[in-house]
Amino acid sequence: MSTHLQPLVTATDLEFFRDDISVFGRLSFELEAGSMVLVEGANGSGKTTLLRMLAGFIQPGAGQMEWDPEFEHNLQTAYLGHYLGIKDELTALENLVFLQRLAGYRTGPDCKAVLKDLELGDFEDATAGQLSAGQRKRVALGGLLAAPRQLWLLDEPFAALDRAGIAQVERLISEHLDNSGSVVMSTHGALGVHLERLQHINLS
Amino acid sequence: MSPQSAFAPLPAIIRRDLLLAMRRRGESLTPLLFLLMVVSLFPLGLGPDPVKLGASAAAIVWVAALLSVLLSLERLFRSDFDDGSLEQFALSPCPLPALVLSKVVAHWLVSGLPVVLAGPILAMMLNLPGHVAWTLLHSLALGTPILSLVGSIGVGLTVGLRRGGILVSLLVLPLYVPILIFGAGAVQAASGGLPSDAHLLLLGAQLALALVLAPIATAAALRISMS
Repeated sequence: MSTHLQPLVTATDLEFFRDDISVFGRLSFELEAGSMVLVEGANGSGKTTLLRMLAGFIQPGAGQMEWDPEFEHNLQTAYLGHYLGIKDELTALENLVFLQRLAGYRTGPDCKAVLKDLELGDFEDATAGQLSAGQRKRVALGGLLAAPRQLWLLDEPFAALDRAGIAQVERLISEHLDNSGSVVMSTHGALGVHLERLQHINLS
Repeated sequence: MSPQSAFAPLPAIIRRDLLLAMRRRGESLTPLLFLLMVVSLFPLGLGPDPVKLGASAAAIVWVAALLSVLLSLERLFRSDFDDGSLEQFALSPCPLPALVLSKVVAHWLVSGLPVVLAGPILAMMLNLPGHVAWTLLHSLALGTPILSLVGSIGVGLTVGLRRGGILVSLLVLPLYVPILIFGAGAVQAASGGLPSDAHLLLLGAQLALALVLAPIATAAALRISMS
């Protein structure tokens, strides 16, 4: 990861329509390396839509996103949505190793150590179907550590997590920002940590 | 330099899908059991006359194989779509068509290969001569991968719909017709004592075409389904 002077992404007048009705409109922001954008808004205000747009799953209805030409979007973007992308029939460890390979890493951070770090050390051989919703979320969050990428797009990362889990996610995020990573995150609640380079976007 | 490789995901996907197939054994065996059931019903319907059975054995096995692949198609992307794995695929450094191809390869290994191996044996039970069974094996080996590849386009298009099942059949069956014609045609020719090379070569050409084009079409279809 390197620091650029140019913002990672510059969004200008982003707009998205559902059935010709504007979901959110005329959104402009810049995301820089080492900084974070917090997307707030009521249910249905388009938080997930904005994140999926940044991930490249959907195209903006109007406006444009200009990416830093040096930023390799498909190598360096991690997306964690409501559906976690982990398989119930695979163990926590198998899921994590697969997420690492899928992100292109033949070798990388030790997946067992990552699970231990997320307090799932005792569950590495339990299938994801046997884990609780919060533990499954932790496995998916482990994917962020097992396959390091510069931009994290996190859709409600605190959902289903207990207090310790929330604290852990906050720690992961501030470590990631310290390593000049970038985060775009949607949430209902307040953020427990104080971050210097934090922008708020309110969609409602 | 980034340590990431665009090709690391390919063997990982095949490994994962085979592992999943092993853990969902009941579901994975469905195509084979379906083939077994359909083929064993025909002697009851057609009567036990060995000449009659031998003459239609190849067609019976080919139609049953086609339907059993169709039955298993839905599984190709359904769970990956439902649990968000597909979104992770879309963000992988590996191009989506290549990922699709390795999904299809894994799917064929689980639901196509057993049909290829069991088909000729079942056909011989229906009084198909031994040397013709050999041609049947060839035609199935060339034909079933095309069924999986072409089917993946239909599944890619319908995976976003709640009730895509019957729609997949409607979309895909017309595209299966040439495969059935040349597959069963090869066996027909062999049992008439004629060379079956032309049919098999045409199947091979269809396979080559499908290998190149189907993953691209499927990847595009999946992106539409995802948005």
